[in-house]
Amino acid sequence: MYFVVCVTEVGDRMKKPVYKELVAASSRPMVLSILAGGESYGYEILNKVRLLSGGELEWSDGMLYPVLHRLERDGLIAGRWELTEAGRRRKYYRLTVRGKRRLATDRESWRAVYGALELSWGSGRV
Amino acid sequence: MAPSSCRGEAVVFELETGITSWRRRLERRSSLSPRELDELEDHLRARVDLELELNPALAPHRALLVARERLGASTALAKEFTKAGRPRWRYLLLAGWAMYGASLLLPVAGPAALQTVYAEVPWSAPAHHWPQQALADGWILPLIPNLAMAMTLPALLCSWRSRARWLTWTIGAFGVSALGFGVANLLDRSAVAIAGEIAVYPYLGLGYWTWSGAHVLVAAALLLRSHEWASARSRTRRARNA
Repeated sequence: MYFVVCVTEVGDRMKKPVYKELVAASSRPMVLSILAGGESYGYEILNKVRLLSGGELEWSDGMLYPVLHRLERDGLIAGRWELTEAGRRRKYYRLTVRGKRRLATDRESWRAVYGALELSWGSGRV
Repeated sequence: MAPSSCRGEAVVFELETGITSWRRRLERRSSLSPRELDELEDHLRARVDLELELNPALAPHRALLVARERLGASTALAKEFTKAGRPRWRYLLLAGWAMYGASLLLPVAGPAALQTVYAEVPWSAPAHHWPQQALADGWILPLIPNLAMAMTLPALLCSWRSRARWLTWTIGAFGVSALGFGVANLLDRSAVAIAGEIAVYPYLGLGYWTWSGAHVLVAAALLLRSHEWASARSRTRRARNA
């Protein structure tokens, strides 16, 4: 039992989280990509980020809403209030036409970065 | 009443009290709008539900504590929201106040506009002479729009949570009327008789236009603010009734 705990702890210590600058930079394409799959709300988006990244992208609960509000102000997403089955007020977000265009641009940019890094790492220099 | 239902009610009461006090504290310590608070409250409730679902033995207050910790401290939350940028109404309000400040230093009318009525007031003097003169002579009317403007200062400093619609409409009415008067004067520069004396308004100065424009801008900012600040509660209540 003690061995298992030790191995888990070592594993956790070795697994470094993605650094915060990269998390911040990827927040827009991440939210837009999730909303491209359909309407969603804050808590659900946060869960999807965790699921998609296998827990490697550490988004704090409080960080998400300012990002959503900024995207809404920029017209990339649109929000609407709904009453849930439990009678709770909830804000749902969806992707706008402008958001779809920005997502396409972001996707190209990130693919270019990823492709260049992959080539660089594949060349055996790293 | 069954003991289990009593316990259920107590749990709900405990949770509701905890969430209400959390919201009030956040409202006091930050400048978050009611809509932002509504959204964070929904998140907190969802997190509490999850904690209670994962661990049914967990006391509601413990679940709330965990959810609050995950959401972050009120100061950190406010900082994150500030990083995301200020709302549009704040820029509009700031522009309105900048215009208002400038208007107080600019002349109300050109030198050629010396009037027969209120001849004691120097028309070509900067606009801030007018409230001073009004105070000295006990005039109420010129003070009202300036007092109304002064009341919006707390909104600029983020410490004002009231929606005060009457203030928006008062400032807007003064601004639009003043602009309307200015435009009418531009189109027809005929003399106007006030209290039996002839008054002419031939050259309204930059101070007049800036002052009127500032009132319109501030009213627009307050209108936008009240729209953005409208809590989702009233909207959903309306939807429920419909």
